[in-house]
Amino acid sequence: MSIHKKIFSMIFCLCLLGVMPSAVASLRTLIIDGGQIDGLPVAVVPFSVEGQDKSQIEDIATVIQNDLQTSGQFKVLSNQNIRQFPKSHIEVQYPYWQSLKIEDLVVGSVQKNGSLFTVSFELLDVLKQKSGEGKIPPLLSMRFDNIQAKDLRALAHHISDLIFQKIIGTQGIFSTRIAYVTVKETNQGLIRSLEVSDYDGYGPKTLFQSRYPLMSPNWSPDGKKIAFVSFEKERSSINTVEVSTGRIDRITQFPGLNSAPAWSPDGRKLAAVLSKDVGPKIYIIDLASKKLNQLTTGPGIDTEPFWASDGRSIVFTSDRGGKPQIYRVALNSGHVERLTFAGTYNAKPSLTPDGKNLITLHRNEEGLFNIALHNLTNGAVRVLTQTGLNDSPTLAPNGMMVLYGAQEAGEGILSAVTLDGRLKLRLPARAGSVQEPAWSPFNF
Amino acid sequence: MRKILIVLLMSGLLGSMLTGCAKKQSSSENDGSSQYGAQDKVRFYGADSSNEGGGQLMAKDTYYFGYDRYDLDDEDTLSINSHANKLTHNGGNARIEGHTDERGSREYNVALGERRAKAIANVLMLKGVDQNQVSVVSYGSEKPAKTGHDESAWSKNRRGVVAYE
Repeated sequence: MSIHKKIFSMIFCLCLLGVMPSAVASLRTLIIDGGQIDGLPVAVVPFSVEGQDKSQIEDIATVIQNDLQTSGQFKVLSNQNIRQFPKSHIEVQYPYWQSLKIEDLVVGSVQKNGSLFTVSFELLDVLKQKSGEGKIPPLLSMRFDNIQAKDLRALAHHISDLIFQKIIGTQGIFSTRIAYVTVKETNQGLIRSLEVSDYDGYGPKTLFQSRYPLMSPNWSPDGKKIAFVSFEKERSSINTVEVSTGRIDRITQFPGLNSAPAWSPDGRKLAAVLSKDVGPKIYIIDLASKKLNQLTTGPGIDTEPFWASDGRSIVFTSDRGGKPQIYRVALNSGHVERLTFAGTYNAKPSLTPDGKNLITLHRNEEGLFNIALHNLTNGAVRVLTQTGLNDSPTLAPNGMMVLYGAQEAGEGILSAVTLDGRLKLRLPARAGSVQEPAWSPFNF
Repeated sequence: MRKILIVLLMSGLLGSMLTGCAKKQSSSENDGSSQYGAQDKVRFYGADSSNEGGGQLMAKDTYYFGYDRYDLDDEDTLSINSHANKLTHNGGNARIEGHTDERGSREYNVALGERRAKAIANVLMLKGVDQNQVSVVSYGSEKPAKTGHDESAWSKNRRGVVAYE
């Protein structure tokens, strides 16, 4: 941590009474944990590195390989099966790659110019290349100049995004981030941290720490702030933290619940759950004026608001019908309709970006809590996990993968599953427990 | 006898203040204890269903609930009444904490925990405690008293706690 952040943490964590936790909590790497490793066969040839000590340069090809493999859409050829090392389409011998059943090939090179780097890459269509014909042009051919060493990893993720978009036709999530809460035992008691990292767990950064519980991280649509719930001095409050500076702003600290903040798609409002008058009910808070507008009414608990991407409705958890199920409320009329009917309990809803599917935490008749996908058009429900003690599902911004909290050997870990069910992944903490992930939006 | 009651009383107050800290409590488990009337502090042996001495009843500060339930039985209500007596006679403030077991979604659990805390707070106020003396906070499943993934842990976590501030 920089000195600036150390001082900031100390000022903000006076409640720790002088306790500075030891090593910054962090995650391991996102790894595949089962399922079908299937998908489009691709190979990413290690980039040629010209005239430089290779160990000092981020291995761009490895980052791209991991990105494409963990997306569940590709079957990436392992390095030990690569015997040729072309760095551009000029050097590629297509029959060799076709004999390996590769359909797409990524090649590239890195050159050092002073203290900066030039990175070039090409994406080649192996499947379409017919022998005896002229070489078809690359699907992608790009060069990036004046790249600093510290940005090479981010560039590798960006190249993965370009490849994913070109082949799959959807925006990739390789440049996104995740926020999450870690809980570690120290000799001063439990320490909770709100952290962010790359989507694959790399490069964790602590934004806030406390002896008291932290909950419900939620990203602003521009990716610059995270709203969260804290319990400093035994009172709940909703706060926001600015990711680049760590600056904290208090949003609400009413009597009763201050809970489940959710940023509106236009970034101007927070939906939140309060119980100060009646409740718990969902309120809309205008961030500029701090004005409150009560959105839901009636008996029971309403909580866990999630905005539809057009900003015109909110889906939420409610037990107004007896047990928790998912409902939708239209913002202009206040009209409420129930969305889920399968299972004895559905909570923590997320809508896919196209609004057609709903992800929930779902309990079946046996009492097992798993992540379920509800098709809102035809009512079909598919349960995506099996272990039964899961919570906090969060959708990737392209709607293709769900990250959620799971249990392993008595500790909380993060797990992920692709919505088509192809691939399972896991992301444990290095020490202690990790829980309540929140996937960032695309924009930064 | 009175000395013992005072010692129990002081221990109870100290214990209830300590529940406010994020200290990991070691569990001292009674197996098969029922949901209501079970103590999580070993020092209060035999305080189960006795009416003798307001001090013993009031020393109990933690009340347990069934799964998805937030109702209190008569014995718990009696015990909460003695907290009410203390607050109305001596003044002071109490913070009522609500908790759930780990199952289910975290924010829904925060709301459920509040139901439990409010049930206790309502008993206090029905017995005449001023609402300014009582605050309610729910931790949902975020501060378990006992770790574990079975009913023996879960039953110890579904609780409301009276903590004097």
